[in-house]
Amino acid sequence: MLRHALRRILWTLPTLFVVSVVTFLVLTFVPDPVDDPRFTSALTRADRERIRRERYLDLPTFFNPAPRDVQARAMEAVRQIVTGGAEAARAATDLQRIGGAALPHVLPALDTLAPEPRTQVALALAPIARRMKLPRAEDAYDPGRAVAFWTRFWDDRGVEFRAASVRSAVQRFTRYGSDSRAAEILELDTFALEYVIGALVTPQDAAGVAQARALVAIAAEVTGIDDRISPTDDVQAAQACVARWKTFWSVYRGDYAVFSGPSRVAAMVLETRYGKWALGALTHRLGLAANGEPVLDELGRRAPVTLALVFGAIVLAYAVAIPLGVISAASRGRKTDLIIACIVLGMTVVPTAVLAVLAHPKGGAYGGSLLLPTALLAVALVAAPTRQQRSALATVLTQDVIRAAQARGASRVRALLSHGLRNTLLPVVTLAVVEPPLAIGGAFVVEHVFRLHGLGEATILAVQARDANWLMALSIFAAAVAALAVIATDLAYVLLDPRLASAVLSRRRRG
Amino acid sequence: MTHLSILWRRIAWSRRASLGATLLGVLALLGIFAEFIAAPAPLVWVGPRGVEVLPAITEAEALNAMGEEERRARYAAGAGLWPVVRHGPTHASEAGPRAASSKEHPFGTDAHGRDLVARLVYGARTALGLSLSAVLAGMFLGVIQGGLAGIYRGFWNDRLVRLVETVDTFPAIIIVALVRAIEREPSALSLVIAVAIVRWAEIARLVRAEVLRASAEDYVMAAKALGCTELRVFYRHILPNAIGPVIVSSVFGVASVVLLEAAISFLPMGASTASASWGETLAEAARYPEEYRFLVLPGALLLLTVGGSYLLADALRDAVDPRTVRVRDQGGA
Repeated sequence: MLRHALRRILWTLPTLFVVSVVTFLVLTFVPDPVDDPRFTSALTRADRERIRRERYLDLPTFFNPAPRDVQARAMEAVRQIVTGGAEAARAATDLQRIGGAALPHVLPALDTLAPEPRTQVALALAPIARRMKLPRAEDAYDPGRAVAFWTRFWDDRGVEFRAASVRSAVQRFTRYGSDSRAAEILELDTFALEYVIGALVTPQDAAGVAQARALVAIAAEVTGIDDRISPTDDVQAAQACVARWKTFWSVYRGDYAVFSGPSRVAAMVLETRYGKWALGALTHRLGLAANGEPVLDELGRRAPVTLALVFGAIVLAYAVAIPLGVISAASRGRKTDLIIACIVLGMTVVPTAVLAVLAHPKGGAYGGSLLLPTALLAVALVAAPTRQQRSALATVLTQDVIRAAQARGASRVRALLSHGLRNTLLPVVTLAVVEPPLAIGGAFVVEHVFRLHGLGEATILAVQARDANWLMALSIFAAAVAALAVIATDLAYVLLDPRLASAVLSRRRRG
Repeated sequence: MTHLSILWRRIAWSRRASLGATLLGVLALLGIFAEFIAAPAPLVWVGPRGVEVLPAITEAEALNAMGEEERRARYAAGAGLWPVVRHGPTHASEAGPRAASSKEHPFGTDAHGRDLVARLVYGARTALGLSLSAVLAGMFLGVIQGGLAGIYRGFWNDRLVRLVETVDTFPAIIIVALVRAIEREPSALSLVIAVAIVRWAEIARLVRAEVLRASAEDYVMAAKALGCTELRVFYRHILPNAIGPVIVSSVFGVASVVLLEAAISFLPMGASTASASWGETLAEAARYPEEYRFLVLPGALLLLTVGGSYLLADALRDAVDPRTVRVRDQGGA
């Protein structure tokens, strides 16, 4: 039984994955802010591209057959510089931004170029030399000596541009930390960025902050992005800064890292919009919501309100509905039956919104317990189980079991409750799975009227802000709750009617 | 007596069915002929521009672009027949917001100064039009998918069934929220699609179950033995049995979609649509609790719609389900 439940729970994971993919596909149609003419007219082309890139809009949705890594980007920049024209200046800036990470790809390729373009490329690299604080960096600005400068540099220092040596340099730096080791890393420029960011962990105490400060200082230096942890910052500010750098890396990883071999295959999947979202979701608590909070924290804070409302209402509705159904089945064809039918119909047809507004006419915040909202929500849910209970019990009551029980001398009530009721609970339990999705709409309405801080409020805000992260999380959460409810129902079957155990446990074996 | 005529007799003699059908019918007529009750232009007008018939429909865009003064000037000269209320659902009238009831506005105006009668009447069009189209679309898709899933079984089919299960347990309001988030201009069409996606799963489940049940029956075997194709077996022998529960579920669906639509327009999700909706008026009731008419009038209309479809669906279910009839005959009621 437990094994069965665990297996079923494991099998919900693929379903959740599919739900996340489908939801993501839908959400890729969220209007792009960059397309809004009111917004874009004030921006330069570079800004526009930066915004698009930071929202991963330059990437394909699910599969990237040719992920662009530092090699591709650097060589493209070199080609554009060689071709000249308007793009050359932009390409030179690009190359300077990519920095040291581009050198292992650009410098060996210098020999293959014609003398004139070779000089141009070498000159475009000059600011990198200055940033790396190379000795005689002024030579790189001199058209006559630039090529020779870089050729010599690569002959002398090329051996340092190896992943293994950089990794150990960064490790030594994080462990012992000294200015000379920092300078050693700075001489590799952005080539070390991958390992610096990799070594960057969210600080928890003062020692961690000091370490993060040193690493962030290197990253800020080589990328030219002035986002550092100042000595006066506390742990929280440091954590925020580290998170910002991690986000930066998630966006710009392709500018500094090489994708080759297995990492290229991984990049085909990860360098996509879905891949970026999924990685961020797994490592950063489902990403950030529009209000800057991690979605998972927000979900954890709000979900209990809504779930309490929904499941509380369902339990309440069933507590009312099952006795009502029993009474109404027992008095079939009499006045009581008719009255109950009318009451139940009346309860169903009153819209939850009307009830909620009636019960809470004052516009102010609602400070009380969840009891009143839950009761209001339950009203609309009473009808279906009552009707189900009534018709199921009505069928059972005509069966021989009941007649036999009464013949043996059981009272009518006893026959009804101990012989009839147990046989009818099954279809009613089945119905309980269908209820939460229906109830959640009403729960949103009730939350809205009573100003409860549940999922509904956050969803309304997310729709207004077109916050994809929240909607993704909500959709997956809803699917997970639904899947768990289905599993719980199947287990309830087994508990209610052990004869079904073998059927349930084997029927669902494959998922 | 054929199967259909038995069904028809059962339905026609049911008081619940006729009450439900009457309620829905009246509301549907209200929605269809909304222009005859409330419109910014006369029904028929003989004036300087010749004879105009229903300018509110034929020249809707031109009239929408005009201000109140212009409209009044346009129909100053001449004679004709006006609808009961001389205001459309989208125009703010001169009476101002939340005006009390008057001769001009029988139920006053809403929080945006639009005539409440017009809002409610056109709201019936939105609610019923939306739910009928969504339910029909869902029914169509569901029958096809459920039939296919029942007839052709295999690996992909199992996956499809799982998909149906997931969609079926997925809250409709979240799908609507997703749809609202991706559209620039909220439109009724996207809502129809979103709701149809949810409705589709339930119907597919019903049809598939019926196909699976019927496949083991002798008459299906007999039909197959006579050489019927799968499609013909489905169409001639299985669908007629399945269509009863499908229709019942769809009529219940009308009620749930009307409620869903009201809930969506009640919640401030995205920009409000151009069309009138009862839910929107209810949202105004939440903002102005002292104005009971904002609550009572749309609430009553919702109640009638939902109640009507529940009564009709309930009667239909009893009519198509042979078990309940037998039980009732035995009970003597």
